[in-house]
Amino acid sequence: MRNSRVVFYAAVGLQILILYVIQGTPNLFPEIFGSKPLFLLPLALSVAVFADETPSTIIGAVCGAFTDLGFSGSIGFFAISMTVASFLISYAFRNRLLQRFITAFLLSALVIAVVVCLYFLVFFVFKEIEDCGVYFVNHYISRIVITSLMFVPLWFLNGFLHRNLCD
Amino acid sequence: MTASATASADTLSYDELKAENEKLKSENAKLREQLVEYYETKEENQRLWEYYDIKKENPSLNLLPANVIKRDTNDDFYSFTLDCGSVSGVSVNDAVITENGLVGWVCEVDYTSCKVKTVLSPDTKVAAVDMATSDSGIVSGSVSLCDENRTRLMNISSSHKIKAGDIIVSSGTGGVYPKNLVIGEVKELKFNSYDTTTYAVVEPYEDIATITAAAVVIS
Repeated sequence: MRNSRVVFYAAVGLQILILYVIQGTPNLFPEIFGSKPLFLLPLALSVAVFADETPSTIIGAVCGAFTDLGFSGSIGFFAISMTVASFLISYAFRNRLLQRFITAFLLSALVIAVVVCLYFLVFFVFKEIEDCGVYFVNHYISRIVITSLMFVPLWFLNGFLHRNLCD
Repeated sequence: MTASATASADTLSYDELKAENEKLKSENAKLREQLVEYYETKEENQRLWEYYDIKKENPSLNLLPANVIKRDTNDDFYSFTLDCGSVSGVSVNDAVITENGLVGWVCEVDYTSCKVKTVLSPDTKVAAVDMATSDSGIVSGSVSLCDENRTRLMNISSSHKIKAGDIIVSSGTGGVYPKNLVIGEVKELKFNSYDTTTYAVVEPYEDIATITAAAVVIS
């Protein structure tokens, strides 16, 4: 049982590496309506739905840190926000919510929207960059939507792995 | 010697033909590798000659050629990382150029790498001047123009004579960027509805999103 959990988290680690490479390689994944998805955010949230609070928090922090590296090179915003988000999602599904797909999808979409909008607020609006509203409409709304859609396959994959390895 | 005997002596066997074919394929592969190396070296040589020309025109510039090792695909303004760092003398705020002109500035430095913010970023502020009319301004990026590989020349005087086709270069005032680094060409003049001023849309001569090599101007 313990070995199976290790295998599960090793599989999650492998997913982090693969998705980081896919996210960071130019021209590997095409732009959709002006932006590319952030693969690691839905990964962290899909794992948080099934895993306990502590490993979810750690995986959220790692995924956030890797996302920060792809954005600005300095670890900070996404590392902190995904740490908190992963803990909250894991706590919610351990104590309050049932592990249903629609609940998980809607909650993760909400979390992704909040995190990305906060990023835009901090790095664009607070810096008083002109025309940032237009930029948000042209790039960030599509980023939120397609990042949320990436949750779907990751939820099924990690759900399958968790059911077969940890339960 | 009869004709048939001569023909037999000249004709190779199947095994010999096969061995010769393998040998030729192997030689062909080596030649292809050499050809790739030749084109890479030729491109690097051409680039370094152009940097040498820049250096001849501006003898006070210290140029450190470098290659792009990482590009931030999620960054909105096409920033990238070069393979030179503080060990090579690079420091924050150093200008980064290619043979086509100024492309950015060093915003973070590690021992062996440095991160470059491009002229398309709103965080970039370069004191610039129009070569034709001597009108000065500040080149700074815009979120509405960055996707088109364009930036803006702002804070220009209301009595300016800037027109499309003018070349914009760094003015050297402020002491951050060296003087006379080519930034780009004016494409059009636009009206800024936020503060009722005019600004010039400038297109760098370099395609910022596809840079593979650059040089850091070491201070």
